[in-house]
Amino acid sequence: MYSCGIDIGSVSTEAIILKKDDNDNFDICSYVIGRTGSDIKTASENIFNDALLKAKIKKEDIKTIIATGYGRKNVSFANKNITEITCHASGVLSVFPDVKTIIDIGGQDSKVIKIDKLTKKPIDFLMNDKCAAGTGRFLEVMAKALDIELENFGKIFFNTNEKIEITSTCTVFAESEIVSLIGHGVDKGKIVKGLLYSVADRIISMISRLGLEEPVSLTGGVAKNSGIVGALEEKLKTKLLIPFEPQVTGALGAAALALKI
Amino acid sequence: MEIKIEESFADSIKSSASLNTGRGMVAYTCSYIPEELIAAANLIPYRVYGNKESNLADKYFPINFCPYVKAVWEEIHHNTILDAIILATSCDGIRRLNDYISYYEKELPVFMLDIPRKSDKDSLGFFAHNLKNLWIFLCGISNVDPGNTDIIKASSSIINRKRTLLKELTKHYEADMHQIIKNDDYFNIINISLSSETDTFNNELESYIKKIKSLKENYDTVHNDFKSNLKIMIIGNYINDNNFWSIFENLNVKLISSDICITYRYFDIGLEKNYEAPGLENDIFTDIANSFISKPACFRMADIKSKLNDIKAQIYENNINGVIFASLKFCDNTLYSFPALKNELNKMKIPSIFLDIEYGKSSYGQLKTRIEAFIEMLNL
Amino acid sequence: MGIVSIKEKIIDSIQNNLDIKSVRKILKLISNPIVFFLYGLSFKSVSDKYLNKYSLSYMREVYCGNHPIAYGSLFIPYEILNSLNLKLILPEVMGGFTAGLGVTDKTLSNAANNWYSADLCTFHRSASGAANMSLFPKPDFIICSNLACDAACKSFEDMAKKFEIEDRFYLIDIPYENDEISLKYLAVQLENIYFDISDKLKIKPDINNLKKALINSNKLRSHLLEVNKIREELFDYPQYYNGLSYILPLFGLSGTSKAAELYRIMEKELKAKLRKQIQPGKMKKILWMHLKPYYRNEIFNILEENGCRVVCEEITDVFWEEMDPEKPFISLASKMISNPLRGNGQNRINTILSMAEKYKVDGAILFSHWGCRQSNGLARILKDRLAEIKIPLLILDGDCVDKNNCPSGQIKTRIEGFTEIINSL
Repeated sequence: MYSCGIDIGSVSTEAIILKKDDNDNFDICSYVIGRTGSDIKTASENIFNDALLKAKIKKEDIKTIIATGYGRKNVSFANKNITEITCHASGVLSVFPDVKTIIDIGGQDSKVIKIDKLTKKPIDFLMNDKCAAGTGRFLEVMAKALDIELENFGKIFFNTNEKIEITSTCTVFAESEIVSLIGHGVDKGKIVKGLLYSVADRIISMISRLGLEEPVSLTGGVAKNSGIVGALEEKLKTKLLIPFEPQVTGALGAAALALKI
Repeated sequence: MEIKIEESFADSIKSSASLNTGRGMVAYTCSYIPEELIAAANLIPYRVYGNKESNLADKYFPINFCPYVKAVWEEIHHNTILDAIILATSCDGIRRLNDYISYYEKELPVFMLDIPRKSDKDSLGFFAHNLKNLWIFLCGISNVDPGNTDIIKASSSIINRKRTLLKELTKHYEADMHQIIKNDDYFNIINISLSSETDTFNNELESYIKKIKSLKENYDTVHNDFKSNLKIMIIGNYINDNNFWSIFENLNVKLISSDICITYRYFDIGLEKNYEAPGLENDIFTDIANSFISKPACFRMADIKSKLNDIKAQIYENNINGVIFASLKFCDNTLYSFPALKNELNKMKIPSIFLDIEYGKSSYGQLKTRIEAFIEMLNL
Repeated sequence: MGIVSIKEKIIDSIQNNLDIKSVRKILKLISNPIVFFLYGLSFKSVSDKYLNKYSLSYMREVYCGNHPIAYGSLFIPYEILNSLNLKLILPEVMGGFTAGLGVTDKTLSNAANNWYSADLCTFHRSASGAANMSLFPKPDFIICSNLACDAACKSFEDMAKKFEIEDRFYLIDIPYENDEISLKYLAVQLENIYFDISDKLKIKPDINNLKKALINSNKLRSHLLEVNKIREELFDYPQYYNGLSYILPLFGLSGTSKAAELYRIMEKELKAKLRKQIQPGKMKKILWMHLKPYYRNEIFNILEENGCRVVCEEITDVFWEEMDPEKPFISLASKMISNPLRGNGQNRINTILSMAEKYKVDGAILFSHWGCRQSNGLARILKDRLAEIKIPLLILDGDCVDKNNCPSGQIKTRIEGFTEIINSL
């Protein structure tokens, strides 16, 4: 039996197709990551069709499609829509069944989900306010201001010993603070390190409200950045569990939930 | 069969929108301002809702300022039909609103009702005195003899009928497991009650309740597939935005015992009891003061311990599954109360979620996601 | 080791060992006669020196554990509490101290972890965080009022709940109007509090002590009136003197002989400065509204570098009449009710306009502390009213307690832009 999860985020859309065997285990048949763009309907259809092609199946073969993410209501071909909170939890738990805290850092929002150790279900969560601080977008803007590729943040983080404290949490102010630091000839490596710590602090303040419980998993596109992983691991004093493709965790969770319907 | 609110309350809606009643209209902001005094002075009480769409208020108020105050300011600025506005000393934001109206809208008479923060004998006497001043102010607006306090009693009975009917509506809504009264319908009806001519509204609400009753009997005999609704309690302040309630429209939940400025705190007032205030001159103003100070309290009025005890009692009594704490942004009185409430809810193992409401300008998409995720979490 | 580096060391030690025991240890260390003497030397102004030395020995008494403790909000009648020999903690002032000591990262994050919204005032948030972290001695009483804002009532009530002293929590409800009935309503509350606290302290209320407190408070008032009169003419201030540093004695210690003495010293010091004053050339005069940032900052230096000097602060204005010690409660009620931050904004506006005239200021700055609705809410009218008398107003957005919410580059640019406007007038 096949299922599909499709996660329409503000920046990217992911689709994943799962196949369940008789013992209730599932395999990933295909997954596709694409840009959302301005037309959610077309983007979701295209990405879904690509996933079908890759899995070499037809739409009719799929029993249930679940849409998630901020564009979840606009996917006309989905059988159901479920919020990204529930889907992320389900996605992470299908890979790491013992996780108790999930951090998800997406393009425009970040969230922390707490999982009950007995029931393995989400029991509390927090999302960032509308401000971009502590999200992928924040890092993108800063990378541009620094004229450094975002992918290189990790290398810089581990190769730099000192940091410059970035006091502004607001994206706009932080950007001008960085421009001014560069103007004063401050080493860019130290700024990168300071930035990563400042994002980590934002996330940690959410975790503190819910109470940190290990093991902790990190998902979302930003989890691919080893710099943020390093900063968070150092501050939380714990190793983060990162799924094979952290960006598709939401879609994976949606597909996993679809198998249960 | 669906009962359409716009049809059932057509006359009420008309009475607030077109203002053809020939009577003056007085806006007021707070559930502690007695509507009966406004109505007794032959004026239509209008719980001002605010204009949420325009941006003029941003030129006057700081960005981190109460969105309700801003919306009211915006509305007043454009409103030419109001005869006066009554504000209360609810908070610093409303104090400033009074300053802005007095300075920039000099034509509009404004009265600031000082509401004590305590409920002892002295506070009660002080409140009664302030209510009397409000009455004199209102009589001045409409040329009514302030000595004739009998008309207040007559007006009270009409407003009390509204309160009783709203309580009855709430009873039906909360007990209704078929969602005959939809979540957003219930709050829309309350919204209509806030700004329409009372007699008209009372009559329409009465026939609405009759319809609901007969529908329910019908349902009970035909269907026995009760929906297993989750019981959610909303706690907060002046949340009266249809955009917000529409999030709940198709969710399989019941909003029980909502503790916000437009629900029980607004209509659970026992004026008919005619309290004896010990040691005080027992006039109509003392009666009103007493009943308003004894009504379900808001976060500004209540001491936090009794407020938490009340909330706890409601949660246990109604088997509440989860709490949504929804506060208009920058509302100090409410926000300072949340840490203690959260702590208490954690102890009770009642899941809760905190929502910042921007009043009109909010990104309802994100609010919707949060609420839906919360409900999903409770359903799992 | 220089005095400055001793100070740095002490601050470092507080930042790294944040608990009540280390606060006590540090207070004890500074109280050592030699250290205490050296500490005093680090102040340039006699008034600053007196204030800081006295505050320290007062704090030591507060922390020693031998006296009943009361927490109070800024504008309550401290004459009553001082007459009852309560030792006082002003959490809002302590919020300012946490900024001075550089520990707000910890206190504010403690408050955030306990669900205090970031939209709330940092004075109260930081104080709540510090109280949660047990940085203050436990209170026996908590007294607050809604003068000038709502925040104190609610955050203090929350503290009373945490410390489980709800029966010893007093809220003074400030009336909106200033009339006879309102005054009486307030006076009765004050009287009840006085007798209730006496009762709970199991002491016989000695009204003579209260009368003495009012006499001391009157002395403070008359010295402050003189100080303010001197400041109408004064440009050449003692180094680092700032009227906004005297919040604790002006409010919390009012009614004590020490506070009256401080203002006597201040009057003498400033009078001597005025006598020696050389005509200052073209220094522009600034009126300051609300409070200032209490962490290290350059605001006042930037102003002076650009030829501007703060000559008056709204908070140091003498807004109340001399009190009649024979009628303590009605007098104290009258003092509270005359506070321009109470009730209608017109009260504050009138005070500001009359100060602007009296001190002949060239410009005004409203420090717009994040989360202070009562003050920032009036900014637009203040700007318009001051413009009517041709006084430019800078609304300086920032935060008195959280340096991270107050980008220094922005502040500098805005102050400099403002001084350019003033200097061009």
